[in-house]
Amino acid sequence: MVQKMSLRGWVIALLSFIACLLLVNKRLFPEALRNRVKTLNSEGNDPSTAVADPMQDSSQWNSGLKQGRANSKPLPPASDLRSDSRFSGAIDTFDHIQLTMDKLPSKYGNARKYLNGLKEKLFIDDYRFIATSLGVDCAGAKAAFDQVNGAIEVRAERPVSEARSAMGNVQSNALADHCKRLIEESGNPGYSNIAGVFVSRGIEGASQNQLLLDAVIYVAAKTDLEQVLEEDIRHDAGIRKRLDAEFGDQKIGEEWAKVAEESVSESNHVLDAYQSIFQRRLTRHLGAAGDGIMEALGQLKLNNVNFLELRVPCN
Amino acid sequence: MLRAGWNQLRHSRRSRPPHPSGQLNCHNLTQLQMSRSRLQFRRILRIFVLVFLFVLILEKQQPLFASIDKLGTVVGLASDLYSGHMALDGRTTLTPALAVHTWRRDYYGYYKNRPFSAKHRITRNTFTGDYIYEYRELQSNGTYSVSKEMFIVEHLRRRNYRCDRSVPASEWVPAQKNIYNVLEDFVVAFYHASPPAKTGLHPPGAPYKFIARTGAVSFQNNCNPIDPLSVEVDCRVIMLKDWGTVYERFPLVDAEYAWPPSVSGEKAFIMGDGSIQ
Repeated sequence: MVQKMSLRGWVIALLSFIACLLLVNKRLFPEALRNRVKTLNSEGNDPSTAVADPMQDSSQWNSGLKQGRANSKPLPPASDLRSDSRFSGAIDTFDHIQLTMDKLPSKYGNARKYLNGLKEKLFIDDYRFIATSLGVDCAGAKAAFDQVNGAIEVRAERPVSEARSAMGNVQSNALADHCKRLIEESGNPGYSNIAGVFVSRGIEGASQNQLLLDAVIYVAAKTDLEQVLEEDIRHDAGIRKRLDAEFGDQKIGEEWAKVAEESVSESNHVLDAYQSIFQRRLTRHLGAAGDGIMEALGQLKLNNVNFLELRVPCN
Repeated sequence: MLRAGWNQLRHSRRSRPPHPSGQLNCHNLTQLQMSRSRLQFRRILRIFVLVFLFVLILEKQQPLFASIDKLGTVVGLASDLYSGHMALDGRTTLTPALAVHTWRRDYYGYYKNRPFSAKHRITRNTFTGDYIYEYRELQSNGTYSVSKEMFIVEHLRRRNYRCDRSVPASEWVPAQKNIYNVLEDFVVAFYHASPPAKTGLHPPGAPYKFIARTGAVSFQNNCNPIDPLSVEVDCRVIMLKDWGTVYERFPLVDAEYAWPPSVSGEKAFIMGDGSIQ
């Protein structure tokens, strides 16, 4: 005869069942690679509750965790970045953007906002690239940017040939993996087209040293702004027609068109600045070959990009 | 030695027969108390099990909420997709996010015969997620002033209407033009706040369906005041991959949307005719 199970037995059985459920749910099966990476990189950064901040240091869009040269000289404190030759490229981009911003007419406040965003983004990417290549923590990227951005410096124009970075030939496998996944998994043909620009010119390893990522960021940012601009132009033209119809010969539509043109001009300044900034970065790496690359990239478009994906992975 | 003595004493206590008189009642009372405490324990256990099952069901249901101000990023609570009935087959956790990508409002017309015209425009800086503002306003001298200072967006509406309350001239009162035209529109961007997290052997993959659900109050597209008709509307997009962004408009024109919407993710399915739902 089967003996009736005791209460304690039931409790133990229930608890064991719950424990099994939890185990099956959380631990038993290995997580996918990207998940593991995400878990490792986003500790204390709960994506379900936190607002995704594109400038946060802990990237959730990482794809690999390959250490670089752990025995290299550690990163200097943020206050000494300018004197470290490994950061000369990053500082050159920073200064170039700042000088471009300073030259803008005072009324172009929105252009300055766009460029300020790019300045921060590129500096953080550069810092991350240097840190990951050296195999050190890159969590201080944002703080380093704030330090450099807050310091008062007298910046002078200098030829691009003087701005070659000591990191010029360094390659990052983590970045290459990230770019590979972008191209292969996103299903967005725009990425392949951009990669093709380098391949068709016989430039190897563009995905490993920020060249490909730079190109992707440039084309994506250009496309995004061009689309906003096109819609603005179309919309403003429609409003102009409506104003002319409503107000007749009161020249209100004409005045409207003047303001609209000014707004278009401001956006074009930003587009020109984008080109100048990325051209300088490419030229620093590739010399004169950078011109041809920029010309080809100028013809391309990259739509529907999540900008959170377009960043140097941080380990 | 001492331990052996103690065991003997314990054994003798257990095996002692019940006393025929008052001690029997005492024993019964103890048994009664024990069974009562057992009953209580079972009741507590039952409640515990019910609470546990309730929490489990809640977790499966994934109640959705979103926080944040009117324009900022809205990250939905993670939505879990399952391949089968249990997590054994595979699970994909989506963190769908939504942000207002562009917003425009143009209004123009006459107020007491004086023309007015203004435009508000907001675009999102894709690098930083910050918003870029522009405000143009017709001045009394016929030119436009332009401001790039931040302003508050109190409502998110889609509108396209004209209201003409002009008064024709009569014997005693001159004609008065009161015309109000409004064009307002906004576009939202859907994207993965973080890459879909996948566990198990066969986690569900793309395509996914992202849904932003919110209340909307309809306007009439003329001079009538707000129509009290309130409806719940969904803005749905299909995410074809674990990457990328999709831009979309909320479906109702001449409506004001309650904000922020709740954002959720679901599995989308490829139908027989090749369409995705």
